[in-house]
Amino acid sequence: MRRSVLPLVLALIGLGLVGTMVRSWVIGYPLVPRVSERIWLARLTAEWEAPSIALEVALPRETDTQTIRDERFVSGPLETTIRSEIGELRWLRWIGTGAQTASYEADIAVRRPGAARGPAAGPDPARWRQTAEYPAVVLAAMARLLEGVPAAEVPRRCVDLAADPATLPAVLADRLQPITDGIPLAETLVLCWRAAGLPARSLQVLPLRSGFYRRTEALAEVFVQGRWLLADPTRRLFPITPQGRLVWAIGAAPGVVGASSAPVSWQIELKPRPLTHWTEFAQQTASQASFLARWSLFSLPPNAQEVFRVLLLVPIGALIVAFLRNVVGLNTFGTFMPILIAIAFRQTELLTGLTLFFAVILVGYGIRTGLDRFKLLLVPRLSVILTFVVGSLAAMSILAQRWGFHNVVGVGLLPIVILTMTIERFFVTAEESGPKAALRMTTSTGAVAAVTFAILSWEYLQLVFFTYPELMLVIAGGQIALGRYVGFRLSELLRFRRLAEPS
Amino acid sequence: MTPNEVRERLNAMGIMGMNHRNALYVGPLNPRCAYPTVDNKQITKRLAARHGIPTPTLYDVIASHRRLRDLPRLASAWPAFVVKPSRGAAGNGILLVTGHDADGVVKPSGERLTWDEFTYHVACVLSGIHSLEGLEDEALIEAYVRVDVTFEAVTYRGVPDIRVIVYRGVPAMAMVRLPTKASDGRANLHQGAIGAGIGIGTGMTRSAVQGRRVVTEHPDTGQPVAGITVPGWDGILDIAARGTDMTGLGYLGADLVLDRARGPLLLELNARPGLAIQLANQDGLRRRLTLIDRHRKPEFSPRDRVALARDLFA
Repeated sequence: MRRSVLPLVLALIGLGLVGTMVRSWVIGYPLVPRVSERIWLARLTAEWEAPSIALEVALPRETDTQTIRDERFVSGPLETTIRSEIGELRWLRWIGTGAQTASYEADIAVRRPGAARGPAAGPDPARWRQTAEYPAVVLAAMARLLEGVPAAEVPRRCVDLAADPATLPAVLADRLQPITDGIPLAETLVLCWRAAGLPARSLQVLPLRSGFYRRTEALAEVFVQGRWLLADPTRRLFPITPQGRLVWAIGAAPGVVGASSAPVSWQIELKPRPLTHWTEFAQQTASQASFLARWSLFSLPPNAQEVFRVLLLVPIGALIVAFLRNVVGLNTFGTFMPILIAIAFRQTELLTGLTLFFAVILVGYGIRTGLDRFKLLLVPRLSVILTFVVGSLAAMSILAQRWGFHNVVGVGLLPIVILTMTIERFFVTAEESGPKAALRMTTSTGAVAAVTFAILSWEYLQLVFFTYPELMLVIAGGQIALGRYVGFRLSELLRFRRLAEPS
Repeated sequence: MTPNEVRERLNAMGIMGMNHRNALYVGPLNPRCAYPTVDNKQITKRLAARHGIPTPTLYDVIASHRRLRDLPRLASAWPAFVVKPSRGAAGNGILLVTGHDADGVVKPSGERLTWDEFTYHVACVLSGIHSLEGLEDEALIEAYVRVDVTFEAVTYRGVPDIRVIVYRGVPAMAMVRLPTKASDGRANLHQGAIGAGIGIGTGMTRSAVQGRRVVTEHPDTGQPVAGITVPGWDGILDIAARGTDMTGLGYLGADLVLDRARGPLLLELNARPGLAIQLANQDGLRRRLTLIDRHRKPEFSPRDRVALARDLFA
């Protein structure tokens, strides 16, 4: 009776996969673009009151899990110099007058730690063995504590000792006091390791999370068997991988040291930089001379690329909407309206976007209810609502700007006309089926939009589809297959459940 | 019961889901070109007249905003009437008027609307606010149906209407929709009206539901809803069965009303009738449609098809 769609579905999926394979083969791209590193933007800002300044800033270092891609300085009239010590330590020096703030910015690529345990030896690890700065009596007391401990267990024993300074003999604790006072356990740990004759040093690290940091966390590492092993004395962890941390500098001194006595305040802002794989990928592909590479989406101008990155994922959004409607049975306002809202969310980010969506619907509903008594004709009434929606969005943007929610300003791109129609539909649904039904529909519209948004903003998926647009054939195959689903929707199982119950 | 058990049970009972209805019945059996004949009530009425199927008397059609201001004057010729959007869906935009005077009109509830408010309602209809696609629409003015007393004891205010699902010209399932207080006097199931299944063979109401809940009596009047014999049942089935010949729709829902004097009248036809009728009848449509497929012969006249239906579905 009905023509089978299976051959068509299989052909589309097959064609899509073969196309992808060919393209991958010709361009020489990995079939699954590797996302092995993330780029973080680190911005250190220093501020001071004094008219002239001389200060030194420890710069982030490179390890085998982090690489500095690009560095920028904003220091105005200040004299800026970089001083390196033995290739591992770098200091930035700002000297001069005429500015009271300066900043340093770096793009840092962070890889997941590989199989190797700890970073490879830097130049001259023996340099980190010197004990000249510690009083001899302290060193001797520490060495006594480690007497009888097998050499292989010394690093671990030191971590235990340092983690719990209360257990140290009084003589040692008293002598340590002036050295470690106010500075973290990491220093005690370094002292312990060095007393045992091991190269050791403390590190200033930041957690790899977006945010502003005014202080760094101190860890320590020790050089054993040709590798640096990292320890977290506060949590008594050893050895640990640097995963989830950004190593900023070596040494006890946090971030910024004012060379003059003038107080300097500083902060480091960390945030992931989006789209960086993108640039890298585009550069690689653009440089390919092959036919397929020239006929790829990478040949488009950058702003068109920007559009297509998202556009190519819209079919997936449509597939999801179709699935949620025909298999799950979620009813939304307007078939593809959730997709449009999801696209708008890209400007506002999810939470702000959802809040705005519900706020606009509620404000609009209030206005619509207020207008009801004036008995306006349909189209003029819709225009009035539209006007109020735009007006309230403008008001919200101004408020948001004041309060520092900058992403709200992107709200201008919310599909306002569609929101207006939604308000009307919301009102009609509320009148006819009750506010509960209208609210339920609004909620599922918001939920579907959120799911679609998550898909659309998945950078990895954008990359895959942008590189291999043939994959859209696979999606089309899925959509056709879904078009032939004649089974019950999940919501119908609930609706007809009573019929299935034995009476 | 797990969802999978529910699914298996429903399949065994031959319950039809929305996807199934759309993909296997509405899609293949209802040609797109036949939709205007049911989506536009004016065309439906004209076609029905040509086929000798009775419908409520049409007083007038308001097609332009220009005529709106004449409404109070025109109304003098209509004792009691109903305003309907020509392309309305699910009973939206229907306004019942039982009487009127110089100030305005009176609704069945006794509530009054001024002429301004009434004219605004008609203007909204013309703007297409209740129409299927939101396009400009026309307003039909029909005679107010004096409803048969059969369902009076189980009706709150509005008009009970009878829905018959017709498959390839054979009535497959029927129910009567009884307005309640919850549905605000409207015969709309998802607003809280009661759906009472009617045995095709017996013409008698059986089980009933309000929403998903089984009910045995009307919540507002307390009267039992089962065991009511529908008068003129043969006529109802005949009108429904001929709906297929009239429109060319292989799968349709016929909505009828029982007039005190004229008997069953066709209100409208629906190309995508809902599935709640299965709950009202506690039976599956798929099961019944398969039976019809097995026994229906191409040469059957409407009378044969009604006979077949009464035979198959007691």
